[in-house]
Amino acid sequence: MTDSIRRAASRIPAAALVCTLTLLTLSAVAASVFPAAASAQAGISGGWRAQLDLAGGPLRFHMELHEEGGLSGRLCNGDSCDPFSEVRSLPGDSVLLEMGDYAAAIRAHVTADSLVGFYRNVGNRGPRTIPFRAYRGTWPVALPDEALLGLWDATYNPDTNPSPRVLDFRRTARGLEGTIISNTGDSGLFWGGYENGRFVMSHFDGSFVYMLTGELQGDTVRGIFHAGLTSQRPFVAVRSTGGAHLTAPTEMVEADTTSAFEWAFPDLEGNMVTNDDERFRDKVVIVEIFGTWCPTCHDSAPTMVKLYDRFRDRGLEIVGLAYEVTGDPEVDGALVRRYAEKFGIEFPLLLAGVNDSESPHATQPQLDGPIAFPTTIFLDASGRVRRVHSGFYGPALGEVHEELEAELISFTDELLREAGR
Amino acid sequence: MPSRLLLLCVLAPAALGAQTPAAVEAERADYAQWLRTSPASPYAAVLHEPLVEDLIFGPEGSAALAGAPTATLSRTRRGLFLETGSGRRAVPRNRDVGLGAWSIRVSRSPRSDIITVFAPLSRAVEHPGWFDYRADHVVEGRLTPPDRPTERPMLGLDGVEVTASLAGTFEGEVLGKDFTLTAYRIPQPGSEEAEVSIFLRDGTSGVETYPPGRFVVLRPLGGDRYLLDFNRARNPFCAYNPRFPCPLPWPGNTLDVRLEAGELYEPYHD
Repeated sequence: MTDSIRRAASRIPAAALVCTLTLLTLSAVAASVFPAAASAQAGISGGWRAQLDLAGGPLRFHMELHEEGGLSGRLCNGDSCDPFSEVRSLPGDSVLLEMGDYAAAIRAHVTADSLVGFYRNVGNRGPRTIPFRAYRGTWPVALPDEALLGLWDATYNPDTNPSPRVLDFRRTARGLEGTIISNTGDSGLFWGGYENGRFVMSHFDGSFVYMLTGELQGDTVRGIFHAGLTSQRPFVAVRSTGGAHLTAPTEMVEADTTSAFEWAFPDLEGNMVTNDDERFRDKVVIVEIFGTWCPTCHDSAPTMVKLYDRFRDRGLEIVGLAYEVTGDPEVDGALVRRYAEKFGIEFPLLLAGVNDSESPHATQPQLDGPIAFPTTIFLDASGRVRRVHSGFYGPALGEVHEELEAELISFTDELLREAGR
Repeated sequence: MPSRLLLLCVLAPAALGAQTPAAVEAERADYAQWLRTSPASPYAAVLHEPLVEDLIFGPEGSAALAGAPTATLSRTRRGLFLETGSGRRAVPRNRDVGLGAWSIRVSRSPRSDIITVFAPLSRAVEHPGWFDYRADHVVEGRLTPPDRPTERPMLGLDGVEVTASLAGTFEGEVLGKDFTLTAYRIPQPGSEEAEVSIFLRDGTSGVETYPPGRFVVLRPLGGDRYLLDFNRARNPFCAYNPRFPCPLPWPGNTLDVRLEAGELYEPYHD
C-alpha cells in the first residue's frame, strides 16, 4: 500500500476501511506496471513499434533492443536513431530504457510480445509521465500525397500569438519524413505517414515529445502541433515562395569584430584553455557553443567532426564550449565526456557554463543577439569573428542539411586559403 | 458481517476508489515521491520572492539563508551570477542550480525575476494524499473559445507569474449539475507546451481541500471536446509551503457541489 493511499485511507470511516484495504490490494495489482518482484527478462531482442499515448493520438516511433553482449538498444524516428544511454533489467519482468542526456526514462513491463509502461521526466512543476506501449514489429509505411511535399511557411497560433516556422515534408521509402524549422534551427527528424486523409508525424528523442498532425485543404495546410501529453497549438501554412519567413541563421547574432574573439574556460581535466594558447594562435578556429542536452547539437556534432578530420592537417582548430545542466564540473564533465565519446570528438570541449539563454550571453560579451544552441562561430587567423551561424539544419532536412554542410566546408576552406594554408 | 457494513462494501467501489486506474495510481505515487525526495520539492523551499537585489547566502545572509554555503547571487547587465569560494558562474533562468546540498532556481516572470531557494529537507514530508478515485468525477464537455484573444498575467501552479491566454469556457455536468468554468492556456517556461488549465473552488475548498482552489488540466478529445478529470485536481505549491504565493480564485470558477476527488490538503508546518 502506498503512503498516499494509506493517508487517504486515514480520512475515511473505520467501517469502510475494512473494504478499502481489500480493494487497495486490487489497486496494488493494477499498479503492477511498476512491479517489485524479481524476475528475468522475457526476451526483448528485436524491433519494436512503440508509441506514447498523447491526448491528440499516438506518437509513434521505433525501438531496437538487443540482449547479446549485455542489454542495449536505440530509439528511432524514421531512420534517425539514438542509443539509449542504458538499458537495464528490473525486478518483475520489467525493463528500464534510460535517456541519460535528458534525465528521462521509459519503464515498462515485459511480456512475450509487448512492453507496457510509462515515459517519465521531471520538470520544475514535478514529474510527468506519458503512457507508453510497444509491440513487436514495425509500423506500416503510408506514403504521403505528392501535393503535400516541399516547404511550407507556417504560423503557429495564427489567431492569438503568431509565431513563424517552416515545415518541410518529404516522401521516402520509410513514408513521410520532414522537420519543423524555427529561427534557431530544426526540431529533428519527424517521421510518420497518412491516416484517413490526414498526415501524422512525430519526433521523440527523450527530451522533446512532439507530434504534427494536419491536412491539406486546397492550397493551405491546417493542423495541430502537439507538445507533451496535452498541449496543442493550431497552425496554418502556405507553400513557401522562397521569401524570408524566418530570420537567416547568419543574421541572428552580431559579433564584435574589432578585436580577437576571446574565451577562457576549463577543459574536462580542469585546465584553463584560452584563445591565447599556442594551439589556437594564428589559426583558423571554429568555436561551437553547444550543450549535451540539446538534440540539435547532437545533429551538429558529426559535421564538426567531419570538418576537423578534413582540415586539421591544414591547421584548423575547433573548440566546443559546453553549457551544461548543473554547473557542477564533475556532473557536467561526465556528460560532456560521454558526448565526446559518442561522436568521436578529438578537439577540446570546455565547460563554459550552464544551459540557458543568459549564460552564453554572460560569458560571450562579444556576441549580440539571441544565442541559439548550437551557435557556430568562425574565426579567421587574426582571431576575429568572420561569421556566426545560429542553430543547425540537421540530417532531418536532407538536401538542406547537405547544402549547409557543403557551405560550412567551403567557408572553412576559404578562411584557410586566406590564411595561406 | 453486519448488513450495513455489507451494503457499504457493495457500494464501496464507486465511493472508495477500487477502480483507480493504474495510470492515475502510478502518477500519484510518482508525484508523492517527488514531493518527498526531490531537492527542488516545494516542501524544501525556504525562500520564494522577487529578486530585487543581491542575495547573500550563508552566515552573512538572511535568516532563511543562514545555513546555506557561502555565496552571493548578483545581477549584472549580462545576467545572473553566483559567486562562491570556488569561482563565479552564470545562473540560468528556469533551471535548478546546485549550491552544495542546497539549490536555487530563478524563474523569469513578466514583471521580475523570482528566486526560489531550496534547503535540504529537515524532516519527513507528510503529503496529504488524495480522495479516492471517483469515476463519476470524470467529465466530458465542450470548450467554447473566447470571442477575441485575451491574455492576462496570473500565478501558475508553482507561484510564478506567467502570461496566460484565455482558452475559453468549459461546459459540463457533474453530480447532476450543469456547470461552466473558465480555462486558460498556461505556458511552461522553456518549452513549447501550454496546457489548458482550470483553477477552481468547490464545496470541499477550505474543508478537505486547499481553500483558494485547485488546478486541473483539460485533456483534449478532438475538436471542441475536452475531458475534465477532477480526480487529477492538484494543489498549487502554496498548499505545501506558505512561502509560495497563491493564485487568487478565478472569478466565476466556484462550483456549488462537493467534488470529493483529487488532491487533499493539510496545513503545512515547519
